[in-house]
Amino acid sequence: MDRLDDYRDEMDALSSEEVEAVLSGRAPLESAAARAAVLVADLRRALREEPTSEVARVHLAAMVAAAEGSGFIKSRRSSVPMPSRRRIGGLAVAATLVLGGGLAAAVTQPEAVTLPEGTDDRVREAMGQGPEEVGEASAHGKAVAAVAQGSALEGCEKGQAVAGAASSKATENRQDDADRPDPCARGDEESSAGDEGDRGGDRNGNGRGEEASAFGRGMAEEARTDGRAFGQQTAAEAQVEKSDFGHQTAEQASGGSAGGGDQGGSLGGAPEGAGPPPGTPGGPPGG
Amino acid sequence: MRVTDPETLTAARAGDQAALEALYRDLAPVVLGYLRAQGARDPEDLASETFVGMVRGLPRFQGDERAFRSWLFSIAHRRVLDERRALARRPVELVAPADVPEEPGGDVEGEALASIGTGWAREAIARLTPDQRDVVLLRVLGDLSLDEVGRILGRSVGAVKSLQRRGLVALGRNLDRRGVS
Repeated sequence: MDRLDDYRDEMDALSSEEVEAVLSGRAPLESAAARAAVLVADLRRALREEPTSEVARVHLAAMVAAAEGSGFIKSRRSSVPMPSRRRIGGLAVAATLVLGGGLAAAVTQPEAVTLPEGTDDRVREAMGQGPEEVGEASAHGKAVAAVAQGSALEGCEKGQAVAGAASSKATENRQDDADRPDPCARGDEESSAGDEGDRGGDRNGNGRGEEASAFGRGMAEEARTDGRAFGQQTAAEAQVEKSDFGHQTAEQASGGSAGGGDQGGSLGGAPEGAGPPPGTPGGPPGG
Repeated sequence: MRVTDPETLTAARAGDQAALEALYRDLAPVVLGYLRAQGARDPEDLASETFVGMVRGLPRFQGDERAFRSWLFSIAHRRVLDERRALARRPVELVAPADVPEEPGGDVEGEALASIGTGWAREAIARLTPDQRDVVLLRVLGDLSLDEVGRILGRSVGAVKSLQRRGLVALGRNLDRRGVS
């Protein structure tokens, strides 16, 4: 009898339970199924095929891609909980608020910003200035600020003082500064010229201001002359009319009752010196 | 035989990438061996499809590690049947040896030694009928029960028992012809 016959006989003789024991590798070595169990164990080991590292890498990559496509995979650091969408949104809002607050603080508190070393030198180079010029500019700004804040002057004078302090450096290079009139004094002249005077519109035009002043003074002189002549003429006419009225009243009084003189006197009403001339009816007796 | 532990399976179902890799390391040798012993033309490609199908169906899977193993082999068996149907519809195109591109080397010597060491087993399995082969492979490599094999193959437990016994006898005969004791 060959080994095939032995194996066939053994398999035929095995019960279903013994076949199960053979397939599961639990068959006892001393049993009739021992040979079959060894064959099955050898077969199982021989049929297993360990994938190569390259094949395993490709397979795992495909699995990860499929899992990501399904949307249920987690990272290898699975102990760290993944933030939810709501939590991510909250973090985004918080980050925005923090960033916005930082920007606001940077805007409202510029002194908190620390410039890198050498920034002022680069600024000077960009402006074409040396360190000494920048120092002078800073002192000039402080001087102007002191004039603006501490000056006891008010109105136009204060403005002129601040402008003068601010343009003091520019004045050094100005050619026509001596010919420039005082803006505040010019305003006074224009005010005294009266409403008739042309204020010139352009307060910076010196020639027009002087013309306006001359024109105003001329108009005022004419007004005074015309007013004086008109007053004298009016007074003469009034005196003539009142004199005629006095004469007429005196005549009426003398032709009427005896008391007409008192009436006439009271009706005349002319001021002293303005009554009828001497020798005229109703007037004082002539000499 | 190493059995997938419940913790790894639970973590893999929760989407843990490390657990998925552990499942692959545990089950890839038997799945790949099953596919190659079934005569698949590209067993590595079918193994990839099997594990990708596992990943896609894992969130819906319910059961213990034994049920998971049975489910995974059912996926692998369906891939084998799909390939057989596809090959049956499409005639095989013969390629002249001169037209076959020369593949890069790899571990040729190691593969040759492995083939000598395992070739006898694959040859003995190849001589079984398809039904016997299905049952023997699912029982030996899949380590599945009669009920689980019956569900995968759509057969009764009695039919599986009969195929199993005849398959083991034929396997012994084939091994004896090859001088394997």
